[in-house]
Amino acid sequence: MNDDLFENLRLELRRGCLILAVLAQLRAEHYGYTLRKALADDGMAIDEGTLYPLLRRLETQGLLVSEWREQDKRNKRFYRVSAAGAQILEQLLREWRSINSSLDRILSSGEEIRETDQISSARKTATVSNVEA
Amino acid sequence: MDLLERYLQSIRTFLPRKAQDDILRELSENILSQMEEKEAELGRPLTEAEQEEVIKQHGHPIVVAARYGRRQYLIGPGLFPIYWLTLKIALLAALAVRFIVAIVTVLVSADPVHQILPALLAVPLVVIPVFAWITVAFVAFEFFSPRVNLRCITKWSPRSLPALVKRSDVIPRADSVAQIIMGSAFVIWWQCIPAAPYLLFGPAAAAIGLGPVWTRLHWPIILLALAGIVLASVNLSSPHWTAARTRVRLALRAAGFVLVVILVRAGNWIVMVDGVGDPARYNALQIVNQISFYCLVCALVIMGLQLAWECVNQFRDPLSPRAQRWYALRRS
Repeated sequence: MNDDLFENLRLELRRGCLILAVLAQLRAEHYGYTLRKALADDGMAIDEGTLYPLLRRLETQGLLVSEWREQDKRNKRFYRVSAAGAQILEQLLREWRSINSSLDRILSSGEEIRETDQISSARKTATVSNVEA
Repeated sequence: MDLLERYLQSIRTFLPRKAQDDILRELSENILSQMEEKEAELGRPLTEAEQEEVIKQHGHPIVVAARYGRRQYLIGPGLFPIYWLTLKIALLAALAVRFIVAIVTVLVSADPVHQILPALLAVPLVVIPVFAWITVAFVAFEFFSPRVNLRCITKWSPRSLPALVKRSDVIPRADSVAQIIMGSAFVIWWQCIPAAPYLLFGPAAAAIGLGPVWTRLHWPIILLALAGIVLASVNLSSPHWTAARTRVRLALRAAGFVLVVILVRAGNWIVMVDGVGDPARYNALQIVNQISFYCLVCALVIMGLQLAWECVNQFRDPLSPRAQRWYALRRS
């Protein structure tokens, strides 16, 4: 049950990041297969069934542009981020960095609280030992 | 590449007509690139099993085609809570109406015993059309939702929300449902007794029957039970006591008390179907009536005390904390 829950939450967490990763990767031109490979090489593996429909959706939204071009004697559809897409990517990156730094602050303040708790409990233990001695 | 062509052909069936060629062309190129790279790695052409493995990674044709669809749901997550609530209310209301119709059918029927089963079996059938119509309406709404403004969701204020209800005023919905079911069962049973006295007396129905007072009070008893069902239905839709509903309940208790008083005063609650006959039967009848008398007096005392207690609380302060505590205690 916990594994399923983790998997669901992980997918939810990844979903937004995937769009960001695809837009960022497509600052350089790619066709579907090489894009998937490039993402996987950078640690952001994504299956074909998710990536190809996502590319079409982003293109419909005007964030990507594509063109059919011949390469290695075969026609391939090359994608790159559009001007509007680049602008949105900058905004999304700002948002992502802001979320990241907030999360860092929250996590570090949690660490501080834990350390303070540990110190105070250690002090209590020491006081009790002194009294007993 | 027979496998790949068959795969693409299957996907084509489920794709939107306009985008078929474009999507399949791109998909084909990507799968071929993947296969070529694998061939380069292995230094030989792929076997059919290896081709199958590459194709299988992409998913079942229906699933692949579905991902290219514009909409993945009929009713979206934004609208779904409203749909679910509407469906529950509509189903409840439809079942209630159909149930009332079934009871009325039994009540007005010349042969109520044989009407019960068909009337009750017809009740659940209302669920399917109500479910279908509500779902179709919400699917249409979801489709046109960018052009339709759902006022109750977008224009609201905390001030327009219902007043705060105290915990002790809450009526558990299970209680109301139980009252509706029990009340309806009683009404149907009571209505069937004149035609089928064995439902009350069992095998003794051949010898004994209800006295004339029961015939006089037959319809008042049914009306009182129906009023109780209506009150329970209102409580089900709005599950908390209000001052008005508390008074209605008091009035129903008072009416029940009056009916029992009339019964106690009437005597001859049970009679012989074919006359008294011999003294032994007369004595037995007397004993049965005596027991009926004691039962009715006990019921009268209990109902009287209950009524008096409720009157005191009602007229002192309809929703005083004490009355609420009492209601809460009585419910628990």
